[in-house]
Amino acid sequence: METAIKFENVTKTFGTIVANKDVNFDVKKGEILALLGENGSGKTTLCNMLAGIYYPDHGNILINGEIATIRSPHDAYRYHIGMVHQHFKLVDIFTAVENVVLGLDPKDYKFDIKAASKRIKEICDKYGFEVDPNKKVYNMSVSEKQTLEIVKVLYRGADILILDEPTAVLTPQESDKLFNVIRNMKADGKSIIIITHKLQEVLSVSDRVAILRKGAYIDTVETASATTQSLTDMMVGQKVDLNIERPKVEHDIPLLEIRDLSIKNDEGALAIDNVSFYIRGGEILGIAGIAGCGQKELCEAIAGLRNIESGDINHLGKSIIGMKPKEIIDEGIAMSFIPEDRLGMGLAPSLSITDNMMLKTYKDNAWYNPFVDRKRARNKANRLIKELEIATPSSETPVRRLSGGNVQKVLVGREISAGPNVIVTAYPVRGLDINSSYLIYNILNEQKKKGVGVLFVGEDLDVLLGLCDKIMVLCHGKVMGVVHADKTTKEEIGLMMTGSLDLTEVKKDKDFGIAKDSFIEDKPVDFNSEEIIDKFKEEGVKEDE
Amino acid sequence: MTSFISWWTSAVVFGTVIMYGALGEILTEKSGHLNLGVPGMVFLGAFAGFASAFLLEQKTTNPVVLLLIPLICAFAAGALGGLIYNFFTVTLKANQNVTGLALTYLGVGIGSFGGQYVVKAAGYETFARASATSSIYCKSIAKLGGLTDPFSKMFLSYGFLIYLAIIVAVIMFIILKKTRVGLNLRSIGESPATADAAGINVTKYKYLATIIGGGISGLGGLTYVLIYCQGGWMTANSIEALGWLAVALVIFSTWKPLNAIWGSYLFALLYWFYTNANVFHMEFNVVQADLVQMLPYLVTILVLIFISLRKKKENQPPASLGLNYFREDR
Amino acid sequence: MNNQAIVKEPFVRIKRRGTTSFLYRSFVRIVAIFFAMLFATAFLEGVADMSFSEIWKYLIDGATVNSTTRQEYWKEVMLLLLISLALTPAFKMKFWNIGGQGQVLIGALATSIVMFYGKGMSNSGMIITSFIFSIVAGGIWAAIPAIFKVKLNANETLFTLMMNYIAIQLVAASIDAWKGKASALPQFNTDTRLGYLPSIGDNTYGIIMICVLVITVILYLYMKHTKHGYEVSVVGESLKTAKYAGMNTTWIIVRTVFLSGALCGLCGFFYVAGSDYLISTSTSGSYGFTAIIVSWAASFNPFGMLILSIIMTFMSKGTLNVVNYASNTLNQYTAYITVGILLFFLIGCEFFIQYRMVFNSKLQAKFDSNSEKIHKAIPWWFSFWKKVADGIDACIAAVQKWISVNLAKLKTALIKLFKKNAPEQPKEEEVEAVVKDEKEVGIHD
Repeated sequence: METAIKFENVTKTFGTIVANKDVNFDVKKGEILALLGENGSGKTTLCNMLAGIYYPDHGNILINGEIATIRSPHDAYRYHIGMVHQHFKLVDIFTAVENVVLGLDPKDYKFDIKAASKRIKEICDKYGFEVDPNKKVYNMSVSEKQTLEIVKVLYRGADILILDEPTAVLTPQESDKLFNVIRNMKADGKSIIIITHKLQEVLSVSDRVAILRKGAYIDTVETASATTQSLTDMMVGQKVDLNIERPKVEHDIPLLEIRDLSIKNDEGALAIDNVSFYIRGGEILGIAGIAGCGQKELCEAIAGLRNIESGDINHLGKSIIGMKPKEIIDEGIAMSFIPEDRLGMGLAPSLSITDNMMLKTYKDNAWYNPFVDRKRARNKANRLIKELEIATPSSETPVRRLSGGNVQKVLVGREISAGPNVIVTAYPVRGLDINSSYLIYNILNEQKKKGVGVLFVGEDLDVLLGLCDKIMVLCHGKVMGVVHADKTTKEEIGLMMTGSLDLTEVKKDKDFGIAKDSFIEDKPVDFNSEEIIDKFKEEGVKEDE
Repeated sequence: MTSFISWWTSAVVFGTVIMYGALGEILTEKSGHLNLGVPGMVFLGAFAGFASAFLLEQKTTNPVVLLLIPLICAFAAGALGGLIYNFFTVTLKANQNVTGLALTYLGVGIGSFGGQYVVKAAGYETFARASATSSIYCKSIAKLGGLTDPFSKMFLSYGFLIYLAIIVAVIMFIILKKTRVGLNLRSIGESPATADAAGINVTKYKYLATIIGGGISGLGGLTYVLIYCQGGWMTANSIEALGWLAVALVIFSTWKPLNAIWGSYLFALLYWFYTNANVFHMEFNVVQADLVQMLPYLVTILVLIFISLRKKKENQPPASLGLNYFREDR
Repeated sequence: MNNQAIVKEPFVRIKRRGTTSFLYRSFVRIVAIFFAMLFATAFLEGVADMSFSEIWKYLIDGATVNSTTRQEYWKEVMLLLLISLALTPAFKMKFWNIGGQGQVLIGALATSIVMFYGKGMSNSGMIITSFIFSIVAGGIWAAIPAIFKVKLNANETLFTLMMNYIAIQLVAASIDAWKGKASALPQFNTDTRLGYLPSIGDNTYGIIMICVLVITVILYLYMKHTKHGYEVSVVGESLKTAKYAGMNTTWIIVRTVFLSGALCGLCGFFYVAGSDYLISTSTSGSYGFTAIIVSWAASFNPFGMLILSIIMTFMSKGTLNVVNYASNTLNQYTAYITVGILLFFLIGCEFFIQYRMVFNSKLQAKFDSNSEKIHKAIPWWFSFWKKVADGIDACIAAVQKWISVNLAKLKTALIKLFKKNAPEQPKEEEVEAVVKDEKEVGIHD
């Protein structure tokens, strides 16, 4: 096979951080190459150089055997390179077709929308997409947006396609559909680079795997001869135990009980629709669901940041509806939400670690004392830096200057140091490398052993299955069922995420999500929901079989 | 009726000044840049237009020269203001609000200083008039044809700059809405990273939009000096106030050039209400007149509140307005 | 092959700098001010028909020639500084209050009302009343846009701007009402001097100076070390984070903007009761805008604002003095231009603080390998300049060393001093705090 792209000693640095160092490998025509590496290993940076977002400090990129100079995305487009970025590059208020034709050579001043729509239809038919050319992007779902991104790249006649973490926001079923499309494109002679850190995907879709570790190129291997373990070892650089620990802990009383809760999102639509569940001390309850199906609204409502429509949130028998966020914090409920940009909620990026430590406690000294107690916060910061091995020059470094993993350690560490009895944590390992992720899992397990109830909103189903005791699946704000993590499969959760399987429908007569020893008195007390879930589970599996 | 006509005609001229300022600013803001230097650019345009007309009149009486050169000078002066703003905000990535305010400060300074400098250098004490040029700019169909009916008075009695403003607005509407260039420009204001990834030269577009926008704002100053003041130079605070009203009008028109047309006339009608209250059989004393002059600003505030109540996506400001773009920022 | 790629490489690229040292930042700003001064002098030389030395003589005279000028100069410095300080807390919260002028005017109007109508009051009573009135009026004037910002997310930039013009019209109406048939409003209470701030010694503006300097220090502490200041910086960083931490963001924003307006109102009080004894629509001039740039260019540091105010006012006062002595073609707007030049240099130099330029590898390689040749090829002034730069580098290094050595000495001296006075107490407290913290953190319990 001919070589499409060749990297020769490509190096890129940001300030003192080396993102890529002497990367050497090639991509052949008509092959799917997986670019594997942990978060922060420089995969995206490398591909951004191919797409003209960054310019390499040293080294060459060869396209079809010739040295290419890609100074801007426009140059990349001339070399027929197209990239689908992880954060979609789409204009919200434009229609699909407007987004597709954006930036093409303006030879025809009055651009022909109809012809463009027709060509989009053709591309869709060829590879099996569905895109409505006249739909505005702000009305699209995540998977629709991604499809549009791929169509946009194909419309420009890209021969080399780069997909950055394409499945991060998709359900397993949607991912499979995407992989079929990718295989179609490969059959069409296109070269495809998939950036990912999910090993199963690598094994199922790619021809070869190139591995990066901390910016350095490690090796390229044939997928056929690779295994999950061998890839991980290369990716991490040491033997890694991939099993997430799930310590057995005696379940305690229900700490947080949620009944018939409905919440509206910013647009005024129901984000959480009549949801009931509870968390016991000493258990981790996972929440699975595709992006934007109400997880954020649920977390915000529990933390008192969002008004609810109806229903009740009970903490140890006391309703926390209408409480101020500060009062809820004082109740012992800690919430940490890692948004996509990782810095939006929970941390003040330009402030130092010390200042971020006292975010929730700065008012704790005497009310008449106008000054903040920085010394105490500094001690706390230094302690966390030591215990969680946060890599930072000092406790006075602005959080913004830390790498992603360290930022999250600061956030999660602070939340846990407040000694809560309920921890609500959303995407705590978003963007972390494997070792840091396991550190976070360990922290959560420690808390679980201490009898804390943990609500864990996650995006990686493998992690949810490994870490959580029970998993609640949401689809468009509705509960599709609560399953025991050790008795379910990824496929089943996937079906529930898309709404194809509804366990609450299977057994309509039973009340879901109500604890037998509930603190809410007017509900039937003799109800043993633990058992019922088990029963449903068994029946559900039978039906599947 | 006659009193309404005089109110209307003064408002149309005044409104055109605001309209030019607002149109220039709409173009600038569509590229994602909030330029608070509009008053400065209007002032620069006024100064350049006046100075070139005044100096040319001493040398020539050729109407074509007197018509074209001040027009070009005013546009170029405004565009220069836009260029300065852009060099600082795009190339040097300085804060947009701060740079805009500094431009207003410098523009007002250069305009006022230069205007008086020219007047004094020509041997006048404090006031001079570029009357020949002004009369060319004030030539109207109504005057040439001797029409005196109310319709002609209301709609045909203005110099060409007044009509040019409307034409500019319509052309801007067509470019922004119907052409690829407009699509590209709008995408930059919404999300420069997207536009960049799509292969659009973001820097080039930003420069062009801001420079042309500045030039259009400069024409507002030209209108003010040569038509409204009939060629007379005054260091009027009202230019600055008009510049700010232009910024407000951009919001009032929800970034749509066609809305700016009627919006500007409405603003001007409100501005001159205090001298034309007799249309409604009202009479104001000095103190009341002072208070009535608040009207355009009060209305702007009301509109501001009203617009923030509406949440329609298409009426929101460009999403990246006020944020500088640096490709390598993550 | 290699060369081909390098030829096409972009000539110059920019990269973000990491953290920069205080010395580097100061150095860049000083260089910028130096060049701005050169530029402004060149402009003045051109229009005023004077020599370089004459211009600098008049510039310096403008601030220092006699005691009246000096007093006037320092008063202007203090008032500009006060407005800059006033706007700072709001800016730090990313609330663009460009209505400083209006808030000053309203404060001035409140003072004027007291001075005009309160003829029966005692002197101190009138001063205190007008002081309170002006602060409250300025605060409320600023709080109105803040409330709309918080409740409806109305654009505060334009709202505060429009409030300027409403304030101007209110002042104009009051003046027209008070002056009656006279052609202009006379100074208030010229016969009784009722409500006038007393002078300290022979310094008419002594009180203003002391007050503003005290406010500078207080504001520094307020922003840096108090709970309020902490809240302000968190809200400015991220509204979401502030809410998440349980802060009452509505109250914090309104309170902070009120403070901002109140200090502007205080400035209006100083104008009327301490300096002009009169109100006009142009009482604060364009300080509302200049102050924004002063506050921003000083990176919100009150002491930086003090230095910048001194330089700005020097430039404007000096230029006006040059205008007075120049041939008759100049006017007072000349000062707008020289100060404007200064403003743009200050804005532009931030680029060199935040970014660094990277020249393409060809150029860089030439520099690296043929530095000898280049050294000979480049004109003499370049090498001269390089020597100057090296000299400055050496100076900075020496100063740095001196400071660090002496700081260490000072520290040990202070520690010794405190140990003598209170031998063991502070230590015990420290130990306690640490123990408490350990209990609180308790991750590995």
